[in-house]
Amino acid sequence: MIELLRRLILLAGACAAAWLWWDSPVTLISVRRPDFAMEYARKYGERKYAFMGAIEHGRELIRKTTDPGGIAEFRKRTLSSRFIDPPARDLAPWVDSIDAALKGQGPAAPRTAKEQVFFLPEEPPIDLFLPGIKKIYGGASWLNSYSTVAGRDLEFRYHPEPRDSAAPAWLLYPQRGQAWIWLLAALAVYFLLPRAARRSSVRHDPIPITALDLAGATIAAFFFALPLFVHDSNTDAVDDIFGGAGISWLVSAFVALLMMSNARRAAFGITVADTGLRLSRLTGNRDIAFGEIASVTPIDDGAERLGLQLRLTSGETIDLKWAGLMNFASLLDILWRTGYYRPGVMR
Amino acid sequence: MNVSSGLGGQTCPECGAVSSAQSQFCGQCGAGFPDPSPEHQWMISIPMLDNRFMLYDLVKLLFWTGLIIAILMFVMLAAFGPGHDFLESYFQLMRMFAYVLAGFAVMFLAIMLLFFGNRYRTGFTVDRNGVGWSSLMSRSKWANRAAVVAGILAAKPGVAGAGLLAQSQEQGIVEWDEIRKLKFYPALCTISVMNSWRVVIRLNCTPENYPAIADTLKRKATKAAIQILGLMLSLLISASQRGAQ
Repeated sequence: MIELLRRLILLAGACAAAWLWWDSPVTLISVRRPDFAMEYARKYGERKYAFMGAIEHGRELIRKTTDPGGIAEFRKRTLSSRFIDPPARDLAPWVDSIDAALKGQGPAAPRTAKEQVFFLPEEPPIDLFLPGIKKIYGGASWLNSYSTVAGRDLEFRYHPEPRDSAAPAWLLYPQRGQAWIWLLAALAVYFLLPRAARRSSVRHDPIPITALDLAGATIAAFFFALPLFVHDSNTDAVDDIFGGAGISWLVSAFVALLMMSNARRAAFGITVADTGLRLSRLTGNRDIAFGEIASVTPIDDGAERLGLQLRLTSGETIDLKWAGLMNFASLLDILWRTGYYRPGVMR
Repeated sequence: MNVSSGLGGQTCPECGAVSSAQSQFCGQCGAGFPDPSPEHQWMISIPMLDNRFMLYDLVKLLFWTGLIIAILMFVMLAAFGPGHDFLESYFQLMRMFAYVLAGFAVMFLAIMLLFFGNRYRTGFTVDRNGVGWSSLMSRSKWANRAAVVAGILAAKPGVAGAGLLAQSQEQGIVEWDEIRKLKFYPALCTISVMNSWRVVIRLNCTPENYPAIADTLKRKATKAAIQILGLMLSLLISASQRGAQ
C-alpha cells in the first residue's frame, strides 16, 4: 500500500502545484486617474498625419463642422453616462495612496502597472464601488466607470478576464510561490518513503519504475493543468467539467491509473531464503515454505518461456513471470538447489 | 529459410548454386550460409516501458535530436536572424522545440504502451556467423509496410522512408569480427553488443539461458578479436618484409 500512497502523494503534489500555479482571481478592478484633457485632445484634436486616408479626412471634416464642447463639458458628459455615486466615507487617504502608487510610491506601488492600480474586487474600499461597477457592466457591458472621490476623478476598469490585463503577476497569480513547495514536498515524500521491495532478491528494475513515475506525474499534471491554462480562471475550468476540461482531466486520470499499475510492479518482490520464499505484493507479504511447494513447472507460450509456475500442496498455483524482473536467476538457483526445478534445454 | 537441397548439399539463398553440406560459404557467389545448428536460439517478449535500456535509448535519441537542432538553430539565427534580439528569438525557438520533443516523448511512450502492448517479441540467434535478431511482431511488420504504402499514396517520401528504414531493422546480424565490446548486465539478463562506436543490439536473454549465452559471446568475441589481431599482424609483417626487399 505504501507504493500506492507514494504515487498518490506525487500525483496530488504535482496537481496541487499546477492548481496553485494557475490560480488567479475571477475578476480584477483597476483604478486610474482619468486625464480628460488628453482624452479630449485624442478624440477631438486636430489630426496631423503625413498621409491621411479617407477615414482620417472624414473625421477631420466632422471635427471642423461639429462642436464637441470644451474639456469641462466632455468630462461632464463622460462622467454622467457611467457615474458611480461615491460611498459616504472619507476616502481621501485612499485616493492619496492611489496618486502615490501611480508615481511609484507608497504601499500600493507594487499594484501598479501601465498607469493603473489593480485591486481584488473584495478588497476595501473597492468593495464599496463594486455594486456600481457591476451595475454599469451588467447594463451595457461597459468596462469603464467613473466616480469623483474627495474632489478627484477616478476611473474604474472592470477586468472579467484578469489574465488578459496588465495586472502584476503577484496579484494575478498569488499562489505561485507556494506551488513549488507542494511539488518539492511531494517529490521528497516520493523519494523518502521506504521502498516495499528494496530488500527483495527478485524485483522489478527500479530505474524504469522511477522514470515512468516521474514521466507519468508530469503527463498527468500537464493534462490536469491544460484546462487551467486555457480558461480565464480555475473556477471557469471547473465550470467546464462536462466539456473540454473534463476530457483533459479524464486523460490525466487515465495516466494516473497507469501509474498505479507501476505501484503494483514496484511492490512486487520475491525474497529468497534457505527455508522458503517471501512474496511481496501490493496487498502484503506472503511466506511460502519450501515444504508447501508441490511442484515447479515452466510457463511456456509456444516456443517462448515466460516464467515458472509454483503449485502448492494446497492445490493453489502461483505464476512467476520473469519479464522485467531483476535477479530471477537467484530464484532459479535456490529452486534448483532444493530440487524443485531443473532448468530445461536452453532456448 | 530452408537452404537444404535435399541431396546432402545446401542451396545458396542468393544465387541458387548447390554447395556441400559442410560449406560455410557459397562456392559460386561467396554468400554465407545460415548455421543449420545455431548454438543458441530463443525468443523473448521484451518489456518496453519497464525496460531501462529502451528508456535510455529514447532519452538518448531525444537528447541528440535536441542538441543537433539547438546547434543548427544557433548557427542559422546567428547568420541570418535579427541581430538585436538574437538570444530572445533563439530561446523562443528552443522553447517551442522543447515542447515538440516533449510531445514526441509522450507519443513514443503511448505507442509502446497502446500499440505494442508494452511487449516486443523478438527472436535471437547466436551461431557461427554472429549474433542475429528478427522481429516476431506481426503488427510492427504490418505497420512498417503500411507506412511505406501510405507514404507512397500520400506522396510523403519521409513517411515511406521511415517505413523502409524500420523494415530494414526487422532482422539483422552482427558478425563476430564486427563486435568490439560486450557489456554484461547479469541482474537484467541483458548483453549489449557494441561495434567500434555504438550499441548495435541488446541481447535480452531469459534467466535460464543467460549464463550460457554470456559464456558463448565472451568466447566467440575473444576468438574473433584474436583472429583480427593475427590478420593485422600478418599484414604488418608482410608489409615490412616487402619494405625490406
